[in-house]
Amino acid sequence: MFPSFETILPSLQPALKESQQFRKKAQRKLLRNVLIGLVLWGLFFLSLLFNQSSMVVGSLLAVAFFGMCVLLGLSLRGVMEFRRNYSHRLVGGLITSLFKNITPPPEESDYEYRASFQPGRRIGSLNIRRSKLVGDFTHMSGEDYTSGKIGLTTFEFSEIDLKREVEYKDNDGKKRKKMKKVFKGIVFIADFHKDFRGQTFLVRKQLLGKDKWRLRMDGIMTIDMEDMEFNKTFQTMTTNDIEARYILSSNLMDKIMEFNRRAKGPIKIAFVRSKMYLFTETNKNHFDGKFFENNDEKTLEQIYNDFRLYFDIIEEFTLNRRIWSKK
Amino acid sequence: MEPIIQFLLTPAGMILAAIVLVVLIIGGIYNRFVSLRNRVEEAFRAIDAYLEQRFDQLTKLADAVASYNEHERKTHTELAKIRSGYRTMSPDEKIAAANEVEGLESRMRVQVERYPELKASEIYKDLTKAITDIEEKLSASRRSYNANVYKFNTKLGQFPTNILGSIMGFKKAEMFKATEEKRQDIDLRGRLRGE
Repeated sequence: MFPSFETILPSLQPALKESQQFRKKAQRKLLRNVLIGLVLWGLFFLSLLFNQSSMVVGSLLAVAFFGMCVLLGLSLRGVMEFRRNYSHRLVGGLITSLFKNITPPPEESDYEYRASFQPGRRIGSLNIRRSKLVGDFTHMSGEDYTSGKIGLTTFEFSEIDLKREVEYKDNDGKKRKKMKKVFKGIVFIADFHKDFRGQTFLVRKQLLGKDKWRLRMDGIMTIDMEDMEFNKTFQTMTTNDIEARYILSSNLMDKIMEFNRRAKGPIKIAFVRSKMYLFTETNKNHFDGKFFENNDEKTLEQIYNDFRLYFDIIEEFTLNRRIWSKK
Repeated sequence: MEPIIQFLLTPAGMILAAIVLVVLIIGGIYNRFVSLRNRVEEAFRAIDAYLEQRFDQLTKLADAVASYNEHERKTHTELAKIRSGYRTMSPDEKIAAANEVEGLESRMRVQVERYPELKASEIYKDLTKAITDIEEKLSASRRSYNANVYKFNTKLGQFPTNILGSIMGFKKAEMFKATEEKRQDIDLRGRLRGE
């Protein structure tokens, strides 16, 4: 259904060339700023060596210090501009090209194929809390928001970073605050192909797993599915045993295991209010260009593969198969 | 707190603590048996409820077929007859009725093939979705029933819960099995595939 990377690459060549020029310009600026910085600090150290007056030394120190701050700011601006250009022109162009060249299945006239990419946006906190797959968090950030429709299934996903502010006492007994990581990775949400009222969760199978105990405190029971391999990887928890088995057919369990093998980090899934929430834990920045790597084509191919991992979920999990009563 | 700890270290205290511990363990095992039995009963009730819902949807489908040709009303009549007596049937009679309904459903699918306008109609499509949905929920109920029966029976078979289970009066439950006809069907398909 989706075109291969080789098929869409020609349409992205102009944007690739522009991005490479952007990078070279930004790298030249960075190098120039580093050299200016080194010269300023060099002058300061030279003034120390040749015992110049304290006023001269002090002035040179101030110039070197503030000069470094200004040059650092200008360099970072250059890197941000490169990243912004890369996201909008290349990654945005990749999505447009992917969806423009889709080969839809025949005889499916009511299927739609569309997607938009907004690098500065993320999934809303309400959706994250609704999934119940993470504990309490006080700070949330994210980027690279992608949303759209594939066939009959609406979807959205983005990178998410969740933190919680915790208080602790230092060695002197003073209260201090620090940020504790709750979750970092990609959150994918899709409309499920069956209607259900309850909540079903697939969390990692760990004896002292935080997710399992947190859900247990909410009165959610654990059940075992018929697939032994599945039970070794995931702990199934639900508010309704029958509904959990209605959702998790043996075919879907196989597909989830396959996705788990291909995913870039540990996954956990929630089925809540007729939607599927898939969390993949990863520290990698998936959908951004790399400033210090010159092989843009290779980077773009990795980004293409990362997008395909999520777009293909809809076909692999047969979410477009609407043969049940779904309102 | 200290007087309690001192008392527990005396022979009388140790005996009392042991009795409390045993009562808690027995209570825990009993509660676990009750919980599993309740889940088995819940799944059985769900199977019953979904079978009734399936009757209703199939009757509507039979009605839709009969609306195209009054001669096809026989299936509708047979379904209605089974449906009216279903609630008062014994479990064995219910299983027999469910098997009979499956036969009627297959007959209806063949009847529908004769009426392409019916097959293309929204009523038929909605009914088919509703029936598929109920079949899936019925299958999920059976899976839930079997999974909980398996756990229940395993606990009744394992030491030391088997001793306590039989004292408490719990008995093994029967799992759902495929009927002989369905098993024969599968063999025939396998032969046609050359397996």
